[in-house]
Amino acid sequence: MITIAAKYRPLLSATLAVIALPFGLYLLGLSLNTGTVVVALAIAAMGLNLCIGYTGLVSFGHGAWFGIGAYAAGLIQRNWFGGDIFLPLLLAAIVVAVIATFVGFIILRRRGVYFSLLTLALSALTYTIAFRWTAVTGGEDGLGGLKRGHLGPFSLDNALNYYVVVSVLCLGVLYLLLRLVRSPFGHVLMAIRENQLRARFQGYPVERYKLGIFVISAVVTGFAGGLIGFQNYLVSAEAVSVPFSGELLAIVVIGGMRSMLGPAIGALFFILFRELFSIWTPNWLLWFGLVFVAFVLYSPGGLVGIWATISKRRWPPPEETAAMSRRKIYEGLSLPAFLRPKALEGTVLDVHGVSKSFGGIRAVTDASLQVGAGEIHALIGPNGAGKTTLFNLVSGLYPTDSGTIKLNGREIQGVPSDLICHRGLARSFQITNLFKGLSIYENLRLSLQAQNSGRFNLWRDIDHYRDIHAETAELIKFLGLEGIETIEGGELSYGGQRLVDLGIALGSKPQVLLLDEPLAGLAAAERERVSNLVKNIAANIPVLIVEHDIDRVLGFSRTVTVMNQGEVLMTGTPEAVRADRKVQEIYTGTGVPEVEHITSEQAREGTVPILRFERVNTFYGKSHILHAATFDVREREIVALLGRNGAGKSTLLKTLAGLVPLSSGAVEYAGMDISRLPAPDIARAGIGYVPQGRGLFAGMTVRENLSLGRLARKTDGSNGVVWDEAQILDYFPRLRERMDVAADYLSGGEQQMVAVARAMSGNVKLLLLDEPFEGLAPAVIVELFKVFDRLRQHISIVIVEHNLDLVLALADRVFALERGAVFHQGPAKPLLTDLEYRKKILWL
Amino acid sequence: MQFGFLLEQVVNGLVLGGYYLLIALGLSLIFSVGGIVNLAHGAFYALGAYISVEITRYLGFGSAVVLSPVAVALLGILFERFILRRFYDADPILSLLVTFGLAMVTEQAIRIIWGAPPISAAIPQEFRGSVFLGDFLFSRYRLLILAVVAAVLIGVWLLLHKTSFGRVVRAGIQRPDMVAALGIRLQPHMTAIVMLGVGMAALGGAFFAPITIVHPAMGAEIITVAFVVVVIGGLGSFWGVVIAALLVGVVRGITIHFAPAAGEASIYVLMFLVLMVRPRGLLGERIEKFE
Amino acid sequence: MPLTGFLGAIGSYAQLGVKMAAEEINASGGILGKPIDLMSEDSVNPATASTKAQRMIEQDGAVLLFGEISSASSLTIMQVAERNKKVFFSTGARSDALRGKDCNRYSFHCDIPNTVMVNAVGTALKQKGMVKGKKFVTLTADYIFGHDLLKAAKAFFSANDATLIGDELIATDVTDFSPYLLKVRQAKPDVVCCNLAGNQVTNLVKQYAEFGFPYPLVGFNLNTGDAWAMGEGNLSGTWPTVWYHTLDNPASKTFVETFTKKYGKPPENHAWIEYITLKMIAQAINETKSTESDALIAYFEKQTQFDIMKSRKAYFRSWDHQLVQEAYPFTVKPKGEMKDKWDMLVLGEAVPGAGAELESIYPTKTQNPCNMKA
Repeated sequence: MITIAAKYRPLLSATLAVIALPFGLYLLGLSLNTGTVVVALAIAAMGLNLCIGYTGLVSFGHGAWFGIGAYAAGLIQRNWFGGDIFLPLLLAAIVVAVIATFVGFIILRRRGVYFSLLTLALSALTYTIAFRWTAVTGGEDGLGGLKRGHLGPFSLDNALNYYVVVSVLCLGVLYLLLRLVRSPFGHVLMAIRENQLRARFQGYPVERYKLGIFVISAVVTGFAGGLIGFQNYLVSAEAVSVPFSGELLAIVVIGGMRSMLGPAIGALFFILFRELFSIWTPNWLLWFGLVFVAFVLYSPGGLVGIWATISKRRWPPPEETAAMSRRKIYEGLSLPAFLRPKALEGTVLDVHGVSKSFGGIRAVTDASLQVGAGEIHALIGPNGAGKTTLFNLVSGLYPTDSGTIKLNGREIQGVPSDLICHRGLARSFQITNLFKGLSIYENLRLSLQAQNSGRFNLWRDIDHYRDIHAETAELIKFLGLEGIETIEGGELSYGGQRLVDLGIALGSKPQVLLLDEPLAGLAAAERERVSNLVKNIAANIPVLIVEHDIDRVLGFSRTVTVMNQGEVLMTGTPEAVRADRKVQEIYTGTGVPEVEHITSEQAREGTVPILRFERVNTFYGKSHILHAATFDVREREIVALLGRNGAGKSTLLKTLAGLVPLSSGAVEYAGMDISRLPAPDIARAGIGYVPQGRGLFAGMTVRENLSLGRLARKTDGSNGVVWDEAQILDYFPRLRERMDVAADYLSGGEQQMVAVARAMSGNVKLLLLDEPFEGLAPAVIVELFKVFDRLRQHISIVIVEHNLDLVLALADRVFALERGAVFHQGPAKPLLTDLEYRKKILWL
Repeated sequence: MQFGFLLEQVVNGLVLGGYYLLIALGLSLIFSVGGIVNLAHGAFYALGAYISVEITRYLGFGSAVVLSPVAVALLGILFERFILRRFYDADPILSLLVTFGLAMVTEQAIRIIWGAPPISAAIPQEFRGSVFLGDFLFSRYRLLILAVVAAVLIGVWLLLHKTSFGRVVRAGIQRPDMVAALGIRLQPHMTAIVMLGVGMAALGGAFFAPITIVHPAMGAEIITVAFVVVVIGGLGSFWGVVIAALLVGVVRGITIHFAPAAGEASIYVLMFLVLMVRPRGLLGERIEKFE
Repeated sequence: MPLTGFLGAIGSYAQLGVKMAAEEINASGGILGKPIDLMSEDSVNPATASTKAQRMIEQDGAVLLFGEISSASSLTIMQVAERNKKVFFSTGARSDALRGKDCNRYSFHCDIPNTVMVNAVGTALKQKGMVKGKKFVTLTADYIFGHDLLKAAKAFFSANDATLIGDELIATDVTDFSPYLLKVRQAKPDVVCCNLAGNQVTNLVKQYAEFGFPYPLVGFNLNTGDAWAMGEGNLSGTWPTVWYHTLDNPASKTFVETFTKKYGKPPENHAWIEYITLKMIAQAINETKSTESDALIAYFEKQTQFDIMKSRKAYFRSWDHQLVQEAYPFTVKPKGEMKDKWDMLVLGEAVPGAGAELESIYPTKTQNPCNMKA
């Protein structure tokens, strides 16, 4: 809560500024009319900034609204209201609103760059209409003969009178904008800017908010256009031109888009720059362009941002160390009353026979599950089992192909995500999904606000909604985030972000909660605490949880559903699941190799390692994937990397291939340090990589794919083995007829062969294979298996594979990873044959 | 003979489409490979026109249409090295803003170097006059342009589909990581693509200088239309851009025939219509980064 | 002065003319003993022109304004002049409306109006038998100047038994005329008439030559600067002008010589008109010993005679502030007879002919009424 004075400080500053401006301009030798232009442009830029700075919609075409506002005001005055400006301005605002609603409806369907390009086109379209539709707009001549009229006894032809009127109107607009951005509606805009998807799942109909702000922004800018039109007594097509739109954008960027008054400062800067520079050079736009580029490159916060940086340096804020440690944790709090749904009974969520395919690949097939009141329902299964896809279907991210989803007996499939949230289903995300630029408090407050009837209110201050604030405070206390509410979401550690993500879902006051790996990336103590939190929540709100920490999840859930390859394998109690043979096979294999173990028994203890991977740490953003991972590969051996989903196996391979930068640690390969080399150099040193999903280039033939493998690497065998076409066909005879077929038309097995052959098309001494057997028919698996086995005679292989029977049969040694660290290493053989030992090491 | 005249307008539209194509194709390539929305592309087109006018003065038109694109392509190296390279992994909105600023700067620089007043270039003597085919009449120079555009189009297609350079580029559009994992450095290819892209824009500038007027804002005038073509065709699609450019040219030609004032507007209206039916353009695919 | 856009090329000539006049005046002691402080801006378009004019008056303290070629920009500057009660000499704008319904007390018009140009060329065309009973297609610039010129042309056609079978309005930013040319061919006219302005004329003529149509191209407006830009072999037909550097009288010859020496190219008609305008202004200020608007207006409204390097002296008509002067039709020199790239036009006899009153070719009060508010 902030005081009234603080809330309206920008209004006070602006009032002082418009009073001081004429004096300042006078000292610089500039006229009052210049002042009027500054103030009116400031209005236009503030209007534009509602889109850019507040909502993240970078519009390259706001000149269109500026001009339409000006033309509309001019035409209305000329045709109906001879001497008046106020009614024409008001009516023009309505005209702009109507047109903007229509246009916004079309172009807001696209986001990001597309949106920007569409607005650019809009401006160009408006320009050509304004310039060529001479009968209405005057075209090249412009729409002249406008009058400024009178206000009571004061003639607005007087520069000072007009300046005062424009300034007062500007302050009025500023007051309205301040109310707007402090309203619930205004706060949702910032949520959309930070993370549109999350805002939608929080229950906000994002499109309506965007259309709303687009129209408001257009109206404000158009209003300024009208004022400038009367200032010049003329409207011309220049006002709608693309360059003018660009100048408006530059004004916003230079001023600073993260503050209300930033664009106004930008407008002043622009006009002063123009007036003062044009005295000594007619090419002031050149310098202005350079200044603009410099701002984009070096100070995205604009002039306001520079000021903030300076003041931070002069008066540095207290160090914010170890954010998470400053919080207060209350043990054993029960779920706040306002979050408890009215007594739920029976089945809350009923998923029945749901299927979904993406481009011919079946991601989920005929999946059914029921979540009952008061239970924690775990959804487990290996990677690619379809768990997250099922979450996405249930929460409305994707439409289902078939099947029904009922929430408290009402079907929700096909309902938009925001409405599903309002019906009582909230979710967290596997990849942390929160509003990084907003405080923790605001992140959670937005969830509670979405459940309040005032969520569309444009006028009331958010502080007016005391109940929302009270609930937010209580939620924060419950989550154990008290004391760090003001920290921005993006500043938090990964674990902290996961907690906020969960909190956002919980704040939606759900009837059922879907949690996607809430424990991933949390430290041990934190895991314990969050587990208790989930248990605590589940007493009132049923929870459907996907989690890879299987021990823990089986420990606290009442029912478990196991998925594999898009299908539900079984549903039962944790005990039943633990005992189920099929489930065990998914995770640990049968202990009966499908392929005979062909490894030569010769010990390779003595051979020198070709690769040493030492204490490597790797991050994706804030999430710490590899924790001091260490392993090694010897010459002519196959090393298998084992571990659950998300343990870091694929990341390890990518780090090794140079595709993911490591933050610390050493990678020594063939006697040299390759840890900081770019990926192409690593590849040229003899490390071949076959990614999960094969990574073939679609639309290119097999031959073309293979040729790219030879293009940049040596093919003389000087550092490793290389396959020429004859050898490739020797290893994979069935590719012979496929050489000129596009890679994406091949069967999965053939694609895998091409991927391996491509990797082997240049000198290779170490081959990295990521899930090479995934989704292949048994016969193909055997074929590939034999190829890898033969390769062992010449090169070393690192393989990641979830089919344990296969990979243990193939490998000489294994390294098992958990949470990015190696926790077991040793020969493969004992794990292959002794199933009990395998379970002890690898399962549950 | 309404039809015959309409056919002339259609062919004329195709010439116009070829003109858009030279600009839009480079734009689309840079966009696909580097993820950069290059609003400064029009500036290279303008530079191409100015440089070609200069060269024509001393060495004649034939040298100009060869040397000017080469000169601009060399400028493209600097552009790629010092500007674009910073933005391959950044939010595309940033590159949009920076290249917009650069376009502004280049336009002013042209004003300083060559002056604000427009310059007229002349059609070389040997290509003046028109060709008659029965009732059908057409300017020889414009037919030459059509031939050049067709040659460039075929050349680029062959380059992209029949050379290892093209294979790397196409592979890089899909899986830059896999290209790197095969030991191929994408960076020099990117530089070459930028050179190719801005060179084509300059070629357009050189050939169209005699038809349109050479003036500092010519780059800003073409860039919007070029983007409209790319958006209609679909980001990242070769044939999409080709079809869209010709479609836009023809639609504009026919519109001008019936309602001259609406000629320009028809381009944008066409775009909005296409996007209502196909949100990603005629042949566009979903590219997450640009959504 | 427009320095960018379709009028930019001739605008830059105008700028040279006025610079030379200012330097000469200052070299001979300035006006009222003070040197002229000449400010010059690119007027770009009507809105910018009016903003800049306003700024020159109130911020830079300009005592009077002159210049402009675009009729649209000129109109907005006229309004600024009237609001601020400062004198404005519109040097290059030709629209009749500026002298007629849009006229005001503070604005003076130096160039010949559209009606005069139509009359100048029309007379020559009539003599060649290219008007009576002929079918015309016009291509007209889509702004106040073009509309105005089209009106004058239509009046001329209907008075002389010609029919207008097609008329295309062309926006000032059009550079490729091919679609319009194809339409012209479809109409199969006897004569094509160009009512464009600035380098649009240049471009149209070049592209017209490119397509090689058999119909003669004439036009009611052409500035010699734009004719030079066309290059050899593109232009033909009869066109009007207000002045040309080959005009044979001593004053004109001295001016051409000095200008050519200074800038390396001969003066274009806008350079000339700017030059003489500033000279007239200087003369007026020196003689009235005042820069007050009212005194200057009174001086010019006396219909004071000025030597403008033509055989007859010129004066500003008191009731519409039009500079009444001779005009000329010209034709193009045959290929091979040109001494240099500027030597491409052959001036015809001055209109009106020696016997007729100067005002006889200008619109009368009833044709183009002007009501000035005092």
